[in-house]
Amino acid sequence: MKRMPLIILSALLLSGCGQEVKTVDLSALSEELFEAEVFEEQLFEVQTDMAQKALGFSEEQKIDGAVYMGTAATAEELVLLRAPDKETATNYYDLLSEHLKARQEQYSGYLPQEAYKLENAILTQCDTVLVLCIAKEYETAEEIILSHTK
Amino acid sequence: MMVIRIRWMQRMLSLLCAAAMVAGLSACSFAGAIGERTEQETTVNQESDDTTETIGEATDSLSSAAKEPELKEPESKEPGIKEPVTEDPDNGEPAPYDYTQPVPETDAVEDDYFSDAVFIGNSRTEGFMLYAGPSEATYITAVGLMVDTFFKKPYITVDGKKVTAAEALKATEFSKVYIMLGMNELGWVYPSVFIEYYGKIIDAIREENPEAAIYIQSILPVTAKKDAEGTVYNNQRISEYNDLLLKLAAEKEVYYVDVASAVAGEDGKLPEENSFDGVHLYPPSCQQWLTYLKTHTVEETP
Repeated sequence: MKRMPLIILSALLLSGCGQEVKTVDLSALSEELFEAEVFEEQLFEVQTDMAQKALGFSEEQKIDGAVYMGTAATAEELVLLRAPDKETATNYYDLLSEHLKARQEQYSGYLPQEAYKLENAILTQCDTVLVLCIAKEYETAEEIILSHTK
Repeated sequence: MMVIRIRWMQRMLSLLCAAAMVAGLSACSFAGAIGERTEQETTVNQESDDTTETIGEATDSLSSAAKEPELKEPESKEPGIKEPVTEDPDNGEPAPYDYTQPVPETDAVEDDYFSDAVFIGNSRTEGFMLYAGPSEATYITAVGLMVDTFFKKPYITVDGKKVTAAEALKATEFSKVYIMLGMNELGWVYPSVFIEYYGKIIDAIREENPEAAIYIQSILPVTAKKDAEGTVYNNQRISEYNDLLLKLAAEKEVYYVDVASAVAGEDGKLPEENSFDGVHLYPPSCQQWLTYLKTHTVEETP
């Protein structure tokens, strides 16, 4: 599985999702997900201003992180964000939930065979870090994400 | 069967007309109207429930939906619409824009040309937005969006609220509109219903901004592999729809921009290497699409 070159995510973020405080390396996480070939379609990194539009964020809700999307041939996506604070992170989580719900509605009529990916999408928030992963190999993806965030 | 019987009746009426004309009567237009109306009613009955609902709500305005859109001689312009002007080479006088032809190649515009533009479309336009779309433009897109769901399905988020594409358009300020719809409608039994709805979208745009420049974008081709699958998603069907869209552009006096030619290979098909599924475009093809739009614009008179 090919992918576009990653931007360097300098985010080594503190996370309190597990029993102990842990750093989350978003760059390493995305690297591992792509190497594990959890996605069926080739994903491409999207510029943050376009990612904001695609995810339903307002212009003020700046995206810090990386967003990978396909060509719409599948529902697959990988969103890795960090918010400036916990409150903003919670807001972003709600927006991503809405985005996921909208995707489910749209793909249910358009490509029903993609429904299982959306039903098994991984959306998690760890402190100020947010991860949304819609993938064919969702079980493997979940294991990888948990290994980085828990 | 119903359509066949009605068409047979139309033929009979036509024969009667011809006979009447020989006899010096002039009832042909009346007979034709009966035939068209009857076929439209049949069309309504055979469309999906989802589509029938809206058609039923606007039966009067759709009474001519079953007949093919006709090219009309330019009539008086709607108030406020600016007409682009080219010079007639014979006498130097301004010549009216020829809406029956695709927009010709022009000097390239910059990205900011699209700052007051709205792109309306389905998943293909969503891909365009992600990988090539000018950042200052507005995008009203949804996976699976169609000309009928444009008015009915709350696919678009505006200020945190789900609304239809039509409602989203009302909430947007714009001077240019680029539409690309049709891929998801290729399986419709009656392309005339697709065109009727497409026309309603143009009407809705004009209602919001009568001076907006409206561009119909041709439907992009699929790959040879997709074409050979034997589904409705084939290039022959796409070509038929594009022919109808060009006629619609002429009828409505809006611009037809043939972006399909920008992404097609020499064989007229989408190159295999440019798509994952034979339908949706990889980023380089989206860039080709944008380049084509930037070099096919119409400068309007002030």
